[in-house]
Amino acid sequence: MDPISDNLNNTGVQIAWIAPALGVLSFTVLVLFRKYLPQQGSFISIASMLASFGVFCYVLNSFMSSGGGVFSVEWFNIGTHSFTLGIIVDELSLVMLGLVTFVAANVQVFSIGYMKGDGSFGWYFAVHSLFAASMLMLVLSDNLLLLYMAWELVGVCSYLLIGFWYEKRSAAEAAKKAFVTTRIGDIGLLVGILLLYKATGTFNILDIFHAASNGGVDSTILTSSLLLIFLGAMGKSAQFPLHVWLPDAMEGPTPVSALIHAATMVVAGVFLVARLFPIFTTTESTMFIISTVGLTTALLTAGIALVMTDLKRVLAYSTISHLGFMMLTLGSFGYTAALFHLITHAFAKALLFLCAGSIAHGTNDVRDIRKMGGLWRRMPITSGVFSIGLFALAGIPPLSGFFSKDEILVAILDNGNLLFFSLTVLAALLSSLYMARLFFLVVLGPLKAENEHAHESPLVMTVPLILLAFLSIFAGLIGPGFAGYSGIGDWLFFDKPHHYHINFLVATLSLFAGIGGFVLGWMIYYRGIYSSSLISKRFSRVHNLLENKYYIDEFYQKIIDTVALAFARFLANFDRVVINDAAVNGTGRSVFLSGWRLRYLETGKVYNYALGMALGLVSIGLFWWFVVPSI
Amino acid sequence: MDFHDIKLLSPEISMGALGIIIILLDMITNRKGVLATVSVVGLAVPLSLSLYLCGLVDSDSEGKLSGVYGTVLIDQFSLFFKFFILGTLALVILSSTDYLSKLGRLRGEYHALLIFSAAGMMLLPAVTDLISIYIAIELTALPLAALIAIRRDSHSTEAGIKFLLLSAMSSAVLLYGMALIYGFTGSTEIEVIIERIAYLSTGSGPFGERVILLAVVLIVAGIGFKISVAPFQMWVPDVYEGAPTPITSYLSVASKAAGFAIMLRIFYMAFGDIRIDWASLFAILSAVSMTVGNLAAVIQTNIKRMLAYSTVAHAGFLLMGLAAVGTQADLFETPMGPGSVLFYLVAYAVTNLAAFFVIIAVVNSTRSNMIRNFAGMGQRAPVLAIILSISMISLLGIPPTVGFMGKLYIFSAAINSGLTWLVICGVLNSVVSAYYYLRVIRTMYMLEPESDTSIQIGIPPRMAIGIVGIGILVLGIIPSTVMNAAEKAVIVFF
Repeated sequence: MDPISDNLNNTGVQIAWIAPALGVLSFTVLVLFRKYLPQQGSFISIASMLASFGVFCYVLNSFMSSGGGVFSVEWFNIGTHSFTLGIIVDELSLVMLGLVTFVAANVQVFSIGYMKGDGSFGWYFAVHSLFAASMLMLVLSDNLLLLYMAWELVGVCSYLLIGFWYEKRSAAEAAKKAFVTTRIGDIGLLVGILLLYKATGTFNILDIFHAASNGGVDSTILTSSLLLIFLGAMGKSAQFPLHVWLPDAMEGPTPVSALIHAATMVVAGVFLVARLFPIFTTTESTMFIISTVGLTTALLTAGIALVMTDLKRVLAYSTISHLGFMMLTLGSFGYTAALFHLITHAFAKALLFLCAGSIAHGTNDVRDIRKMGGLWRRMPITSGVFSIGLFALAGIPPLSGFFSKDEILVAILDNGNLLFFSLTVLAALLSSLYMARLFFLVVLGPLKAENEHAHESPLVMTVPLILLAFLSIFAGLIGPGFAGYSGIGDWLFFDKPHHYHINFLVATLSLFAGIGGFVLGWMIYYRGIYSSSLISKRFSRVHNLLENKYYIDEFYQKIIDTVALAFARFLANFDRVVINDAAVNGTGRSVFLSGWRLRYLETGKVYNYALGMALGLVSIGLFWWFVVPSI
Repeated sequence: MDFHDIKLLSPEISMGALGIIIILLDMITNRKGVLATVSVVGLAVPLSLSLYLCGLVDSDSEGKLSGVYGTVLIDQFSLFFKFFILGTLALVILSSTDYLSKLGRLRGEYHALLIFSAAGMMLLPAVTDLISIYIAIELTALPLAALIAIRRDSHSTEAGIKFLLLSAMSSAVLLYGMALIYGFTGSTEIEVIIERIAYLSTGSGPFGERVILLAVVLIVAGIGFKISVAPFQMWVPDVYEGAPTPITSYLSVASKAAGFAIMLRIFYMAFGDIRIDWASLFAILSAVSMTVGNLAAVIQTNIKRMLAYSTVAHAGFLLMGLAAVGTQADLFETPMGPGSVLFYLVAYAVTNLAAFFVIIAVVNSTRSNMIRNFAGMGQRAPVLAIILSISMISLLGIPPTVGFMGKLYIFSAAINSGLTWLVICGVLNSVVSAYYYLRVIRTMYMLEPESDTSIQIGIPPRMAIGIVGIGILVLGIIPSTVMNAAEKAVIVFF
C-alpha cells in the first residue's frame, strides 16, 4: 500500500464517486416512479449497476496508467472543524469496487427471473440499488464519518431486504435479529471512530495513519479504539459470537443472500480491518485477538455446516467459516491472502447461493438437502455450475479456492504459530467435507420422487450462473504469477510486495485437505462406507451440540429473558413513574400551562400591545441601568 | 448625486421602476396573470445589476464602494442581502399566483407594493447613516402595512392597522435612540459614531456612559419590533393570522432578514468596540424570546398563529448568533456569530417559505387555517405533505435538513463565545418545539382526512414549493457554499 497523494490529473480518481451516485439515483427514481415504469423499473436498477461496473472499468484503466489517489471535497466548516467528503482510489478500493458492481449486476439479472411476479418487484430492485450503492460508498470512502454513514445504510438495506417478505413472521424476526445483532457491533464502531477522532482531531483515514505513525495517539486509546472498531467488523462480518444473525438472514429472497454473502454486508467487516490495516498492525494484541476470533469462528461454524439440513443454512455457515478464515489471515498479517480469498470466495459463494435459488425455483421450493439428490438429471446447468462452486470453495485444484486457501495457509505458517496452522488445516478439511456432502447429496445420488418434475431455470437465471462459474474457475489465476505477470502479491499488499512462492509442504497439505474432504465425503455420503446416521448416533452428543449450534441462540435467549428483560422491567417502571409521570408529563403540563398563561397576553387590543412593548422596553432599560452594573 | 451614486443604487432604482411599470401595466391590461410573470422576469434587472456590483466589489482593492455622500456602502454584506431579498421576493410572487386569482382584485397593487417594500429591504443593509437607515426602514414598513390589509376584510384590515400603529410606535422609539446617539456623538454616520464613542465615552461599567446604554436599549426595542423578538412580539400572531398568507411568509422571512441585517450593521460598525456589553443584552433577549415563542406555540390550533410564535422563537435563536461576539480574551479574533446569523437566516428562509407555501396551497382548497384541517393530507396531497413534514423537521432542527445545520452553526458560535447556558436553553427549547412541529406531521399522516378531494395547485406555486423543498435537503447536505458566502459577507465587520 503506497502512500497516497492527491492525484488531480487522474480523471479516474475524480469520477469514481459516480459509481455509488448511480445507485442512489436509481433508488430515487425507482422509489418515486416505479409504479409508472414498465417492469416496475427493474431495468433502471440493472442499467445503473452495469454503468457502475463501466465506471469501475474506466477507473481501473486510468489507475493502470496513472495510479490512484484521493479526491475529496470540503463538506462544511464549523469554526476550526473541517469536514470533508472524499474517496480513495487504491488497490483495495478498486478490488472491492469491481467485486461489488460485478456481483450485484449478476444478482440483479438473476433476480429478474427469481423475483418474477412478486408484488413489490420494483421496491426490491430499489433497495437492491441502494444496498450496492451504500456498499460502494463504504469501500470508496476516505474518511471514517462517511464510512460510518455508509455502514449504517448497508445495515438498513439489509434489514429491508432480509425482511422483504415481512408478512412472514420468521422473515420479520430474522430482519430484526440481523439489525439488532449488527447494531451491537455498530455501537463499538461508532465509539471507536469517535475515540480516534478525539485523539487525532480528524476523520480522514490517511491523516489518522499519519497521526498514529508519528506516535500522536496514546497507545491505550489506539488499542481500545481499534478493538471497538473490530467489534463493529465482527458484527457485520458475522464473527463468533455475533454470527447468529447470518443463518437466519436466509429468510430473505435467495438472491439477496447471494449479495449479502458475497459482495456486500459481510465482507464490509473484513474490508474495514483491511482498510485500517496500517494502524491495526501497530498493536500486536489486537492482531492476536483478530486471528483468534477468526480461527474460532472458522472452526466452530464449519462443524455446524456439517450437520445442517437446509441447503441455504449449510451455505450460510460455510460463509461464516470462510469469513473466519479471512479474519484469521488478516490477524496473521496475511493482508494479500485474506483479500485474495475474499475475492475468490465472493464469486464462488454468489454462485452457490444463486444456484440454491435456481434449485428452489426449479424444484418448487425444496430446501432440505435430504429431499434433493440426482438433480443433475433434471437441472444439468445449475448442477454443473453448482458443483464448480463447491469444488472451488472446497479448494480442489485448479479452481480458484485452491490458490487462495493455499495463500492463507502460507501466510499463517509464515506468521509462525503452528497451533493456528494445524487448526486451519483442520478447518479447511472440514470445509471440504461439507462441500462434498452437498455435492453427493444434492447433485449426485438417486433422483427423489418429489423432484421428478424439477426443471431447469430460464436463461436470465442461468447466464449469470455461468458467468460466475467461469470466474470461480479462473479467478484463482490472479494469485500466482505467470508469463510476465508477477502475482497478486505484487500489487495488493501491505508494507512490501511479495511474490507468490509455492511451499510444497503447504501445497501438499492444502491438496490433502481439499481432496481428502471429498474422499471422506464420498465414503460417508455416497458409498455409505461409514454411514452418516451411524456416525451421528455414535457421536450423538457432538451431533446434538452441532445441530443446536452450540446452543448459542438459546444462551442469548436466556440472557435476554433473564438479565435484559429484568433490567428492562426495572427501566420501564422507572420510566413510567419518574421519567413519564414526573419529568415528561410534569414538564409537558407546565409547558402547556405556561402556554395558557401567555395566552392572556394576547388580548387582540392594539393599546395593550403598545403597552406591552413599552413595559418591555422600560424593564430592559431598568435592568441594565440598575441591575447589570451592580453584578 | 453623480453617476457613481446612481450605479450604487441601481438595483433599488430598477426595483422602483419595475414597481411603477407593474402599476401602469395593471391599468392597460385585462389579463392580470401577466403581472406576476412580468414581476418575476423583471427581477432579472435588479439581479443582474447586483451581480454587476458584485463584480465591482470583488475587483475593488478594499472590497467596498461607498457613495451618496457617504451614506451608502456596497460590500459583500449588503450584496448578500440583496440576493437574499430578491430570491425571497421571486419565490413569494410565484407562490401567490393561485391566492391572487382567488382574491381577484388589486393584483397590480399587490405586486407593486411587494416590489417597493423589497426595494427598501435591499437598501437597508447598504446604508450607513442613521437617517438613511430610518428612511429605508419606513420604506419597507409602509408598503407592508398596505399589503397586510389588502384583503380588505375585517381580519386583514385589523391586522394592517395594528401593524401600522405599532410599527409607528417602534419607529418613534428607534428614532429617539438615534437622536440620543446624535446628541452624544454629533454625527449620524456610523463610521464616525464608533470613533466618537471611543474617545467621548469615558465612563466605567457597561456601555461606558449611561446615555449609550439608553440609546442601545431604544434601538434594540425599535428594531426588535421588526424582527419580532420578545418582549416586542405581541403584534406578531394577530398580524400573521390576519395578513394574506403569502404576505405572512414574506414578513416572516424577508422583513426579519432585513431587520437582522441592519442590527448587525449598526451594532458591529457603530458599537463594535463595546460588543461585550451589548452581547449580554442580546443573550438574555434570546433566551426570553425563544422560551416565550415556543411556550406560546404549544397551545396554538391555528397553523399561522403557530408559525407566528415559532418565528418569535427563531428570532431568539438568531439573537444567539448576535450574542456570540467571542470572548473578552479573543476580542480581536473573528467570531463565528455574524456568519452563523446569516446562514441561519438562509436556513430559516428556505424552511419557513416551504412551510408557508404548502399552507397557501392547502388553505386555498380547504379555506381553513386550523391545524386539524390538515388531517389526512398524507393521502390527499402526498407531495405537499412530505414537503411540509420536511420543513417542520427542519424548523425543529433534525438532520439532514438545513435547519439542523443552521442550529449546529449558531450553537457552535455561542459555545465558542462562552455562552454554554444559552445553548442549553436553546436545546431545551428545541425539545419543547418538537411538540408542536411534530403534531403537524402527526395530523397529516395519522388522522383520517375529512374529504378525499386532492389539492389542486398551479404551475408557479409548484415551482416555488419544489425549489424550497429541495433546497431544505440540498442545503442540509451540502451547506458549504452558503456557509462560505455568509462568512465572506461578514468579513467587512472585522
